Amino acid sequence: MKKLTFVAGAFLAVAALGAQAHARLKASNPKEGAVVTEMQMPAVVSLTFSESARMTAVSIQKDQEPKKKLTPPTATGQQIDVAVPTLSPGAYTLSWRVASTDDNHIMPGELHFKVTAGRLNRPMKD
Amino acid sequence: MQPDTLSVIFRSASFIALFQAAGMAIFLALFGRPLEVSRSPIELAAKLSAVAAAVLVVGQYTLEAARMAGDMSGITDPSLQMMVMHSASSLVLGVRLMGLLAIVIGLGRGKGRGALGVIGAGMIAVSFMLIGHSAANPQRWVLAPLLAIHVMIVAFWFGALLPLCLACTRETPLIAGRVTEAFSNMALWLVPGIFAAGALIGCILVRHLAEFRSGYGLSLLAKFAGFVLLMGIAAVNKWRLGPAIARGNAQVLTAFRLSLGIEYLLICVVLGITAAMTTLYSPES
Repeated sequence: MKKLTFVAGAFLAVAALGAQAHARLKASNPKEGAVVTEMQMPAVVSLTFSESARMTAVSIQKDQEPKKKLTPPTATGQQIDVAVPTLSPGAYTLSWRVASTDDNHIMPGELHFKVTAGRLNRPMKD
Repeated sequence: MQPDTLSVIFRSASFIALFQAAGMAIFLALFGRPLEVSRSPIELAAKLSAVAAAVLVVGQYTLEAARMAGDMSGITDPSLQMMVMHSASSLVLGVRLMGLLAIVIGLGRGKGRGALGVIGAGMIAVSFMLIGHSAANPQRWVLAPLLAIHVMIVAFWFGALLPLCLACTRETPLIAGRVTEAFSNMALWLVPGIFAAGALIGCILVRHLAEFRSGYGLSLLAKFAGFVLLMGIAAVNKWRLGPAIARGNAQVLTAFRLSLGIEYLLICVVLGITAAMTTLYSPES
């Protein structure tokens, strides 16, 4: 049994090593699932990743409408700000691809938020 | 087809071709001398594997820009191609192509040719430590050599399957038995090196058991299941079929070839899972 555990541990460890380093989303403004008013919606969406990365593609989609490609920022770092156009009320999905600075491993990601008309009764968490 | 899917296909196929070319070069250097009629077909298979590997690694490299864009338009995007060109992927591509060239040149009889083939195989093993966790981790000076050793032994194992099958088909039972026994004796000492290297790496890297519930973790478990099955088949080859062939028992040759074929397919599946896992999933997700 001890031998089997050793073999399993060794194999899984090596398999884990085969993985690439990945830039995953740690925080954002607005947050995932946030509801913001048109007035509160910032002009840039801030994305904070687990490691330094460069955005290679970004698009935004309102409800079921076709995706609109945005210009990816050229800056490299853990925090990346994406300029978004003025957003009318609706449910939005921001989709991106980032490449890790250390090994260029590509990771896709998405952020979902809603924009509403007028004022919200509760304060925005972001 | 989505660039991610296409990339996984290219990556899986390139792993198979790379490991096969590298492993065949090692096999010929170590066990090629007694081979008479099967040496030429093994060399041809090694050449074809090397050429296929070269095409596949270039294809996979080209697809990186498409993966960056999220669609195939990335292939014609100069800024994305430039980004790929300035990344570690270029170094990996260069080392792999040079390794494959060394393998092709090293084929054939002649002084130093076998050594050149092994150097080529070594370069392919080294290419795996130039990217990924082993390259980015602060303890890379320990991790990277361990990974290279792991890859080299896997290549030794996987790359020997087709040559062994050809040797058993075309050589006399005496030669086939001698080669099979020599390979088994060496494998007995080398294969535990995979586990030894893995245990050391595990002490440094593995952190959370919770990872096994994710897509990444499930892929790991699938790989492990395939690996356990492989060890079972390898044990049958080593302790039952191999000795029978060494005794000149030609009747077990068919069973031995079938066993090698199953081993081959299982390793291909495991390599395919590895390609999908390392392309699509993250251990932290």
